Formats: sequence, C-alpha cells, structure tokens
Amino acid sequence: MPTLVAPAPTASRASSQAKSRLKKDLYEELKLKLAIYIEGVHYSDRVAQKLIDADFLHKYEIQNINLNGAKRRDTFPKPVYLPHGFYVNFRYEEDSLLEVVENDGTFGIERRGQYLSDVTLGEEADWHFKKLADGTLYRDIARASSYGVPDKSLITAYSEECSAKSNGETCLFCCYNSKVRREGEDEWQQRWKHPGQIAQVVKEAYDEGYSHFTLTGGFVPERRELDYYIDVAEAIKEKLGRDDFNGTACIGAPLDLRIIEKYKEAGFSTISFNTEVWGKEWFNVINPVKVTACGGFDNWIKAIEYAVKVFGPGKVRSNFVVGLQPKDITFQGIDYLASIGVVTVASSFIPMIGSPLEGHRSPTVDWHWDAQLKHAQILRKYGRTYEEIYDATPVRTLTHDIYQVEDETWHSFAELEAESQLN
Amino acid sequence: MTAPSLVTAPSRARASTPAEREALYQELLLEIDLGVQGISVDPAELAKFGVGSQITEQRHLLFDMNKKHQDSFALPEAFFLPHGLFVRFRWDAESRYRLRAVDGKPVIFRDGEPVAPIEFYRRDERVHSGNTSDGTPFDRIASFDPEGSVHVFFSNECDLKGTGQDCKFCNINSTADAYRAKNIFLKTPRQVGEVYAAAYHAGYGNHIRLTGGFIPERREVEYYLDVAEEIKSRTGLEEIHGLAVIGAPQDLSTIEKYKEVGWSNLSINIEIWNKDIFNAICPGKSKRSGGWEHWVKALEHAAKVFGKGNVRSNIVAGLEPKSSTLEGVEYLASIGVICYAGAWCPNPGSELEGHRTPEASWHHDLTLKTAAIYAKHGFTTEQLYSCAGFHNPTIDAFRINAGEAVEGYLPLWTFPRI
Repeated sequence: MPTLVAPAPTASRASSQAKSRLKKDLYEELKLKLAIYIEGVHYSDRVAQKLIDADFLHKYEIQNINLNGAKRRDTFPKPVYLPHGFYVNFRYEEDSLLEVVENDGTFGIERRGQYLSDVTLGEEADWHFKKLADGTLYRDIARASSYGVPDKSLITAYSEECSAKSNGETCLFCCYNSKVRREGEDEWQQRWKHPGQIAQVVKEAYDEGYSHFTLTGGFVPERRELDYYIDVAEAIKEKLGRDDFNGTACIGAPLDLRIIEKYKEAGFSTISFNTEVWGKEWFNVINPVKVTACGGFDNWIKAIEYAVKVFGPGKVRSNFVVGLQPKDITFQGIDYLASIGVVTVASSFIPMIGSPLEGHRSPTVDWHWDAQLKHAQILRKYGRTYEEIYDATPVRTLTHDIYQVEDETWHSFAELEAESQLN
Repeated sequence: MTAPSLVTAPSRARASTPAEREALYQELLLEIDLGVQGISVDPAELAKFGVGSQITEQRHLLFDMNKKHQDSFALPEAFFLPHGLFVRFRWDAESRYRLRAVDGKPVIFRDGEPVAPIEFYRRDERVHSGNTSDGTPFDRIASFDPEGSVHVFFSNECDLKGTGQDCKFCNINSTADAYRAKNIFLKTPRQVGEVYAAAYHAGYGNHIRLTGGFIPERREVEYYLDVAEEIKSRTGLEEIHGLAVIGAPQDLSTIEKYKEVGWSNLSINIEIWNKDIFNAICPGKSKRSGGWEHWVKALEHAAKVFGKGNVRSNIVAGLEPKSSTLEGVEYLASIGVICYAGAWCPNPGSELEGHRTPEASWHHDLTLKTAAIYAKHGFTTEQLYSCAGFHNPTIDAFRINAGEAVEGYLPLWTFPRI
C-alpha cells in the first residue's frame, strides 16, 4: 500500500489565496514537466560535458538498430527535479526549443533564450547498483519508476523483445522490437529475467520502502505468459514471506477469459490490459498483434470488463497512447472504461526511434495538457482514488501529480502550512 | 543580404552539377519544412512588402492552412526560394522560421539566422483584378497559380458538416465559418465560366481545377457538366484542359460523363490507403461513397476511362505509416493513377487541430520515394501538373530527378496553350 504524504494539519492557517497561488505555480510547473517530456531537450557541447562530468548524461549509450538504420542516442540515467519536486524525464531531441543550460554549476531550462526554471539532478535508487549472485546488476532486472515521492514503485520488463516482431505485427508506437544494445556491446543479448532474479530485487526494494511492483514485457512466443507470471508471483511471495505483494500483471487479453482468474489466484492484486487506442478501426491499425493474438478489440474490451468483475473496481488498469487519434475518440474510450471502474492511464505519445511511427510527431503541449487535465477529471468523476491509481499504475504519471495538487497532499502544501504556522 | 531576382531565371543552358542538385534537394527540404513548421511574421513588417496590392494575399477560398484562423491582417499567398522552388506561405505565430525585411527585401530566418532570401508571388492584373458580369471579383471565385492554372472551389462548404462524418483532417467547414463575410458559398457555373474564359483569353489560364466539398444530395455531376458547357461556350474549346475533383460516384458509369463533356483529368481523393484508418479518418467517404473498396474501384475505372497519367488521387501523408502510404502510391501508379502524398497539415478547426504532422525529414524521404515511383511508371511532368493543377514538392523532386533544373535553378513550368 502506498505511503501517503503526511496530510496538512487539520487547522489550516494557510490562506486560501496562498493555496490558490501555490496551486497555480504547481500547475505551471507540471505543464513544464509535460513540455519537457513531449518536446525533449537539447544542449550545447559545453553543457553536455558538464552533464557528463556530473555522471548525468551517458553520451551515445544506446544504439537502436532498426529499419531506419542505426541510431545512437544519449541516455539520462538519473532523475531530474523541478523546483517543487516534480520528477521529469530528460530525452534528447535535436530540434527541441527547450535547452538545458548551466550557470556556475546550476542547471536549468530555457526556451528561446528565456529562462524557465532551475532543475536539480537527482540520484538513481541505491539498489540499482547492487548485484545478484550471478553478477547481474539489479537495475538490469528492474527499475525504480516513481522518483521524488514517498510512494515508490518499481517495474520489470521480463524480456526485451516482443514476439509480434516475427510476424511484422509490432504495435506502431512501440520501439520494443527495435534491436537495442548498449554502445560497446557486440552482440544482441536476450535479457530474459528469471523469476528468482526478479523476486530478489523486489525483496530488496520493498525492504527499502517500495510498495508496488509491475511485471510487463512483450508478447511471449506461443502466449505462454501465464506460466511465467505465476512463477514470478510465487517467487516473490516466497521471498517476501507473504501472499500480498501489491503487484500488477500487465498482459495481453487471453482468448479464454477465465485465465484472468489465475492471475488473481497467483497473488497479483491488479491487472492491466493496455488498449492504447479506442475503436475497432484504430485498434486494428495500431495494435496488429493484439488483433491476431488476442481476439481483437471486442475481446480486448470484454477481457477488461471481465477483469473488473474478478479484481474489482480500481484494480484493473488500461493504458492509452494519447495523441495517436482524435482526442474525442480517445476520451470516449477513457470515459467508458473509467465508468466501469478501470484505472485508465493517459500516456502521451512519443514517436520513438525504432518504432514504426518514428519521424511522426506528437500533438502540441497545449493539446496534451488539456488531455491530461481531462483525464484526471474523468478518473475523479468515477470515484478513483490516488491510492488506486498508485496501485494500478507502473510509473508516476501526471495524473498522480494532478491528484495530489487537487487533494493538496503534495508536499508543497505541507510546507506552506508550516510556514503559515510559523508566521 | 540582398535577395536576387528569383522568378525569372536568367538565360541558362548548362545542366546542374551534382553540387547544384544537392543544393536543390536541400531547398526541397526547406520547402517542406516551411510547410511543416510554418512562418511567423510581424504584421507591420508585412505591410512594407505590399501584400494585397502588388503581392498576392491568401484568400481561404476552401481551406485555411495557417496555424490559426485570423482575418486581422493580410498574409502573402506564396513565394519563390532562391533556386526557384515555389512555396505556399503558411503562417504560424510560434514558428522558429520568421519572415523579415532586410534592406527592404524579404528574407526567411530560422532561430534568428538568415536562411533564404525570397521573392513573393506577385499579382497578375490580367486575372487578379477582373470582375464577373455580376460584379463579383475574380479572386473571390478562383485563385491563380504562376504555372497558368485557375483553381475554382465551387462550394466552400461540405455537406458532411454537422453529420459527424467530416474527414478528420479537413477544415473546409471551419474555414467557411471563419471567413463567411468574404467568401461565396456556391459559385454559379456562369461565374466560373466567365473567370476561366477571361483568364484563357488573356493568355494566362491554360488549366482549370474544379473542386469543393460534398454537394447536398451528391448532385455534383450536373454541376460539373454545366461548368464544362459554360467554359466550352465561352472559350470555343472542345476539350477542357482541366481537373474535375469528385467523390467516388456510386454508379461508376458516371465517370464516363466527365470525360464525355470534355474534362481531361479526373481526381478521386482516397486520402488514406490503409482501409481501417480510412474508415476512422474519413467516415463520410466510408459511409456515403461505398467505402474504401469502392473508392479503389472508382480509381481503377477512371484510369480505364481517362487513360494512364490522367487520373489523380491524393493521400494525406502523415496520418498513417509511411509504408502504407507508399504502398498506395505504388499500387495506384501501377494502374496509371498519379497519387500525391502531400504533407498533412493539422489545420485550425479540423478535428485533428493540435496534432502535428511528422518531421520534415520524414516528408522529404516520402517525397523523394513518391517521385521515384512516378519515374518508374513513366509519368511525365505535364501529366503530374495536369493531375495536380498546382505545384507541389513531389513535382519539384520529380523535376530535379529528371534533370529539369539548369545551373542549379528549377525554372517555372507553365501549362501549354491548347
């Protein structure tokens, strides 16, 4: 269960005006967070060197080898924080108008020469650098997926390839099947994670206060995913010494819906079927493997409806890649699924290197901002709580942030209150 | 920086060198990027150039391709780049490209750095200043391109309005609403005939493109026949060097009527090659015109009736994966249909407003591949222009590939006199 931020004292002394100003500032910062995600950042060679010196930028660490040729790209191994503590992802984008700048050791973000905000470089989770008995780094098994908040979760992608590749059925927005390797590696390595490895990392993370785990990955050949998920659940339960590990199983819709019950029996508390786009036509185009392997859009939705009956409202998640289709169509789907108790996730579309839609562009930041606000409102309308969103979602999203701003549980409100008490 | 004279290439004879061809391909990329990203401009700066007097201004007779609808100042319609490529001006107040005056001459800047001097497309008094017999200005009936083509948008509304079946990328109805005070809903065949005849007799107009939204009850065939008769009677021509843009008719034999009354070219715009995306993006075309298969059948039938290189289709590039678009271009070319794949512009008022078209490099690659398909199937520059009615980057790519540039300059192509 999530460790919620301590609520503000009941006898609030902070004025409503002060809270209102804070809320406005927080929303502006969240919009910048979104902009950084959508547009990416660029930086001069001088700043790149500063980032490298800070061990914050790994130049050309990753190579994607795909239909469009080999592409090398920088990676940012560590989190970045905006002034109010919101975590952002940095992603290099050569043509971005957002530029990382550095002055006397302080990093910041500019847009067209206008300084927008300081940023603070953070650290990876300590456990990332531990090693399993076989020498594997923990970070190669799982990653922390919610920086900057006490409600900590981690995620494992059990394999780094999806069997959709062999049939040319990769989802169009997905780069999972772009052959990725770290610079310097000669061979493509099939990095399957074994249940025992995953259980060990989950145990260590949970001992450090992590409280949610997501298991996901590409389609397994012959759809043998159930066996694997059960093995992982059993290994985690044994390692933790308890049956409830607050885990989400992210899977494709099974043709026999009764299989969904097996995931619950195995101990997963939440389950996820990522619809990605709404409407049969869109689904057919964007998710070809989910049509051929999972019975198509109709069966996918039936699986979600069935899962809500098995797991309960607030215990089933479905992701949408927002920006692939007209907004009103996406929101028809989000509204319907949320209305039956699904925790929808509105992931902004990023046309990734190596995906079939490489070279496309996501809608504008304003478009996405409107979508994010709408999405949070819909979840709220259907009664979803912050705890449910946390328990069902693999990573920290803007929806989490918006919920905490609206609930005034973001730590800045406690700080404001503390200041008011002093005054 | 001083802008050279660009519209009329000096007398040149030498073929382009490899370096000059590369410069042309780079200018092609710039042409595409200016469409993708748009151009910002200070309205006060624009006033210095004489937009609306010597320089042609945007009219929005059918679509508005700017980032937003605006009618508070006149925007230029188009301009030439230094190597002769013709670019439609697309306004975006937030664009990193900016138009500025340098020594009184227009120059495009990117992020504050000069990129290219330009020369505006200028008004031609033979066509831009006339009036029909009922007193309607010619440029409220049609627009005119430097190649000698006349573009008539018979209706500036689409009957799909209010049905929820508009094509998702289209802003014809939003544009009509935004500029309603200035535009004419339906142009009469007589008005169209008068404008084209005047342009023809003045030696300017040698091609007409007739297009518009869906007409209520799909009575477009009667309208196109009436326009054809008006043009023929006023020009004395038996065949109209012109492109009729229509929706796929339910009865395919209707296609023959367009040929019989004298239209030389026919366009049936499929918009999307992937059938599922077609259904999602073009619900009206899917539900009213027999669906994707019927559109393809209509194109196949039209190719037989009008002959190779005389039928056009269009795919809005960027709404589906590139491989799908190219598959459509290739198939249609194989049956003799020229299919354009111009860059999707998520324009104001369309259901996809706020989306963004793919990167310029994506479109550049598609443009070169499309031009290569045209060459492989033996189409000619004249066929490409006759099927388009107007210039576009794919024709530029085709002409550069074909060696039509001289000394690194792509001269203006003009429609031959019939």
